[in-house]
Amino acid sequence: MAGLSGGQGQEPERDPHSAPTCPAPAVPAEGEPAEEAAAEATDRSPTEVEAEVLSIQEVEAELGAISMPTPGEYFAALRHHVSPRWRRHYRGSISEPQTDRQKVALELGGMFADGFLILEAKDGQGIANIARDLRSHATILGAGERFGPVCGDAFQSGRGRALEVVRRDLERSQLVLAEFLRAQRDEKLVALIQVGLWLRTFQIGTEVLAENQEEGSEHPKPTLCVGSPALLERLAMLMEKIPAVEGEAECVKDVRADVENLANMWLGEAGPRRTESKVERTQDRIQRLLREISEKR
Amino acid sequence: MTEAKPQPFAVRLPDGSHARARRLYRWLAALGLALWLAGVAGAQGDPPQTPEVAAAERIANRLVAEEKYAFRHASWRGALKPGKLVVLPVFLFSENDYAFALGFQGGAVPSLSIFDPNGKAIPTGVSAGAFRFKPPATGHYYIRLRIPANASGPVECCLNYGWR
Repeated sequence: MAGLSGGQGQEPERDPHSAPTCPAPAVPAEGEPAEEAAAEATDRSPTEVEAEVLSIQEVEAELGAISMPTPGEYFAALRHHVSPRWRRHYRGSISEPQTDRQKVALELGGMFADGFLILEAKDGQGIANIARDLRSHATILGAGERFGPVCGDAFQSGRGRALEVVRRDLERSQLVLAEFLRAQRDEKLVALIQVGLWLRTFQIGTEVLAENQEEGSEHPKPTLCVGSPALLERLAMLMEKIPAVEGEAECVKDVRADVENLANMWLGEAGPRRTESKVERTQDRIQRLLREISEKR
Repeated sequence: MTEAKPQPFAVRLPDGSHARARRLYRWLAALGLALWLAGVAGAQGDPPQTPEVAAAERIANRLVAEEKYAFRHASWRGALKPGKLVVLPVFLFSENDYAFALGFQGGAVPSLSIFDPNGKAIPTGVSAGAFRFKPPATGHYYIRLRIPANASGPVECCLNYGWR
């Protein structure tokens, strides 16, 4: 997302889920209601309208759940380059839920990604299994009562249901969990679920790309192993908004540091120049992080 | 001028008991709060079936059935007053084809524009309904919905998208 975050460090505090501002923002004068600015904008040239509209902070706050993509979209993008054998990328059995809520949130995110992977593999039994694991982890966060029925609706009859319906239900259950946590003022856990989701998704992506790479040839589109540097940068921004606190799980500290390092590397600001080295380093770091998250300590 | 304060506890039941009236009032208040909370919580996971949501879903279902798009469960919903606009960021992959479904209900047809990751407008000429888009590059795009200033009233909108 180079070029979109001009003025960083001087920006007002924003929603952690918000998108970066557009370049050269023309912020409305202090006290000028966004609505009036918008009404005026309708009489201006397209360029003027564009610059003003996209810089209105109030408008940026209008961020719904559609501002972040789903792993389903990422996997569809992968399919345009390679023919993945999705079942090869299943994880082994998921361990019993841990007691550290932050680790549970990161794990839960990874399990949602597993759900999308299972959908790609069209594995009805797998859907039922992941539903059970999701429920047990959500219970640790206190969301069992709210999340359980939604998750149950979504997956209990995974077999035989239209994939499209199950995919939407999977996303719905993630939204319900996020809303529950927000209501409990646990924004931090919502962010960690999102980060865990994308770490696991990128792990699958890097594995798929590596599996389909012919020896000695280049990756078809190396940046796809992290979706795009812009997406990775977005995750780094999410982690930045999570304040480091005393007693924080070690793996959360590592996730914060590694996501930022990976974002800098893919944005060309640090790390190796060779693309292959970047892909390898990404794969190594993500694997290490996910191992650390699932370890009981 | 001060308004008279409601006196719920002044309700007198047939047996003349204020205490029972108070208990009944509290019970009804608790029930109302519980129902309101349930409604709020329900609305977050499942959008209420308002006309604009139903319209967006109809468009989405048609795109799923006829053009093999996969649609998201999440959507953006909101009411826009005349002359007001909203910009919604979405992250799109250049490999995918996208289709946006815009349902609306109200006094005007919203106009829909899309801006690339650099904030540059991409001409579409689309107002409402289904809008297909192939992003030239992967990144954040911005969907702008705008209601004409001369609209007769607020317009309820629902926007969703799918990919293939």
